[in-house]
Amino acid sequence: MTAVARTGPRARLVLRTKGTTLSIVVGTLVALVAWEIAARSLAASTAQGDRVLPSLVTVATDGFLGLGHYYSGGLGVSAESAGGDGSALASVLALASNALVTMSRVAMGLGLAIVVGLVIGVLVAAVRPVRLSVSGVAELMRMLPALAMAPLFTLWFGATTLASVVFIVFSGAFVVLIATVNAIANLPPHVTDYPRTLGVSGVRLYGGVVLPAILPELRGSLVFTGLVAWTTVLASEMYGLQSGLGWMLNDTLRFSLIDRMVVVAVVFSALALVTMKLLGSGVSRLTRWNA
Amino acid sequence: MTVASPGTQAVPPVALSRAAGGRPRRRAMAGAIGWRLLGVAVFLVLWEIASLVADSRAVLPGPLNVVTDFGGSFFDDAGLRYLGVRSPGYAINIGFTVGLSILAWFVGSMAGAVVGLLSARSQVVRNISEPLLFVFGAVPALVLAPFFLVWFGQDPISKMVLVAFYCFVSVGLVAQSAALAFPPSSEEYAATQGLGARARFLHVIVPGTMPAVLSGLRIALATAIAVQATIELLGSQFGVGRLIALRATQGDVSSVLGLSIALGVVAIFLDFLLRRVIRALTRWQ
Amino acid sequence: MTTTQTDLAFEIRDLTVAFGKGPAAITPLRSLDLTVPRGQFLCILGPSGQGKSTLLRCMAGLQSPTSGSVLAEGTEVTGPDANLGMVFQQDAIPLWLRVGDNISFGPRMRGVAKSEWEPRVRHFIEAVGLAGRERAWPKELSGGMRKRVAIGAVFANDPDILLMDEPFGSLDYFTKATLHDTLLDLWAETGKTIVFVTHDVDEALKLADRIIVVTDGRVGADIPLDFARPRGDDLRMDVTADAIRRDLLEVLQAPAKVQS
Repeated sequence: MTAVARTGPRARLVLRTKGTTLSIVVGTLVALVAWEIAARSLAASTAQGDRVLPSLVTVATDGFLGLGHYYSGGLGVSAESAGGDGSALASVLALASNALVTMSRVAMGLGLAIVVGLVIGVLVAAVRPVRLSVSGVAELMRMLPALAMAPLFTLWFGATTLASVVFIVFSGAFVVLIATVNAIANLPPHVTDYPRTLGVSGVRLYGGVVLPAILPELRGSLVFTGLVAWTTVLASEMYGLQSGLGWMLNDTLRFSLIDRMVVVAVVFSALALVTMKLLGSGVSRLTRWNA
Repeated sequence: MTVASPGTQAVPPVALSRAAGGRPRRRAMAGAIGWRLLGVAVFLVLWEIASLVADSRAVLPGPLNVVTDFGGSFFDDAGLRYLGVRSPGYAINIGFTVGLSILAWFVGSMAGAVVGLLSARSQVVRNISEPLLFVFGAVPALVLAPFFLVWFGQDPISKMVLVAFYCFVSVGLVAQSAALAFPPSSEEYAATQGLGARARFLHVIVPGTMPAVLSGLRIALATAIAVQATIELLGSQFGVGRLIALRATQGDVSSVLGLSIALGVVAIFLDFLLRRVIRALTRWQ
Repeated sequence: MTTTQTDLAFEIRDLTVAFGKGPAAITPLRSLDLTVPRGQFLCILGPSGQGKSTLLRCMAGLQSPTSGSVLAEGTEVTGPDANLGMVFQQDAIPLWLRVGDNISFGPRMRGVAKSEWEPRVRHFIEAVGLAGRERAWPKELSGGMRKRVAIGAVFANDPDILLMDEPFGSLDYFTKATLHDTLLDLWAETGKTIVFVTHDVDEALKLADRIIVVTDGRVGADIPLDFARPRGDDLRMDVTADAIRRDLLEVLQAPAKVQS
């Protein structure tokens, strides 16, 4: 070796880091502690401190118990006997009933968005001119600020679950459609040629061969659409609807009741987190055959 | 006869055709654009027909109505001004919304790309960023908007912070996943050429993941504009979201459609520009 | 021939590599001993999945031994190093660099002065047959040409030792044959030590000074090849070569013992 000096030992090559549950737990704890410290020091320095940044204790007590009046019956316990504000039972029922409403909207909207996107995508993928014209429109629709169009859907469908579901489908179907069309276009020919030499055709070919084959490539878009669904339902409920966790959040916002807002936001976030992770692992399970 | 081994990267057929001669590909592209435009034209016609069938401007105004109404309020709007709305002209509000979005997108996405890439190779960075990316990769950042509104009022900076945060998480996750999926042999090769960890990061990971990261940036921009407008819906002094909220309370479907489509058009134009830039930066692909 | 410490490119003692723990553990290398003199062209043969790539990666510093030691030119190998150049089985060259920049990648990144590396890089671009293609992107090249880039790049970085992990595995017969000749010319010119992993017996017979077979985690056979160079098709007629070939095939095709 002429010009290069023989260097000393090099560090081991780090080619992949790993996400650890511990780091998430520690991070959450650190965030909670930081919040509490900030809340208490703010409360000590200003009169309104506890309102603006309530301590976690306040959140867990006043915040949680102040939600009772959002329960209007329907879960087997009548609104009056639940107890209204100040009753833990009422608060739990309030959160549960509204959470159910929100989740049902997400489920219906997301399910429909995926079905519509997949079906239309598969239908148009075969013929090139149709595929291009439809995806041309879909790509333009995808660039619309769907979230900001929340008022439009309440104008059209009223403050109803239908408005929310249609809104979610509008926001998500185009993403799935475009992803489906691209995935089918990227399929190597032999994936369909081989089954066709076995005599498989038509619906069986598309349902039993094409759809599973494109699923790995669709994974990212499906998970993304899940996040779109949750964001869209939140926007629709914060803007105009009269039920659901988003509505509770908006209603408590009107009076700047941060302690109650925190409780609702935490419940909403927990639901979104759990369902999104389930969606991700669900799709992974369906595509576990993929190398 | 070549037998491809699992790890060999094949030369994509598009590239071969480009090397062979540009004309067949260009002709195919022109055809593709033509069909897309045809699709859009058909859609507009169907929309016009549907509006005629609905026969109610309040429910479904046709595309022509939307354009006319939009044009009328482009620079100023007497009606809104009478209601005491400051700067009611659509143009300036679009400029406001888009301008803030772009700034927030740029800052947030760059930070996200850096942290995302680093987190794939440095366990320390990963441990710190993991809670944020894990939670807000699944929880819509919009849930923070009401809190920002209470704490910081209708201040445009706080809106930008939220949009930047959304872009940070979005691009951060894309960058992290691209760096984690990057073929190890490329980095090992660089190590055997004598590159240390820092040199490998700057000269192998960054350029190698650039196509995926830039693609993530592109997608984040369109959504950043939408998120900015949505936050403005909740409460703002300026911007398209504020106008949409006002028009919605007036029941003015045409204006809501017009404003939304206008933002969409701007987003499409910016996306087109970005794609050009990206193609110039990734000629090697 | 007496070999002193500094005459050895590699001194490997008692090398063991184990993955996993307990009954499911895989031990591709078990107490392997090997010495490689400088300037030798060594081929490592073996059936797939029997440890030859693991051995090469230990020699390159990309894999840490579970126990035992690997010394390269008298110094312990603790990680990858510019002196242990490697050509990979997959396309590992950066795709975002043109051919010229790719071949000068190593010296440029290490901060070597341009005046020093430029003549060397230019020479190796020519030597691997890519003169005139310096501005091409790797995506525009065939698989064989991309291998030439990889070979040119590793020689241009001037390591004392070159390690090659089945570099021509994915290429067709004729491309492979041309690359063999190119590689042998470069080896004759530079006198580097080359350790070449392959599962192709004919390839090993054509290229190597010495063939070792890794079976059951150890060096199972160690065969010097004294045939004159250049070795063409007439090697097939040679009786000794044929006998070696048959022996090697027999060793390679023997069923692998259960790893325990």
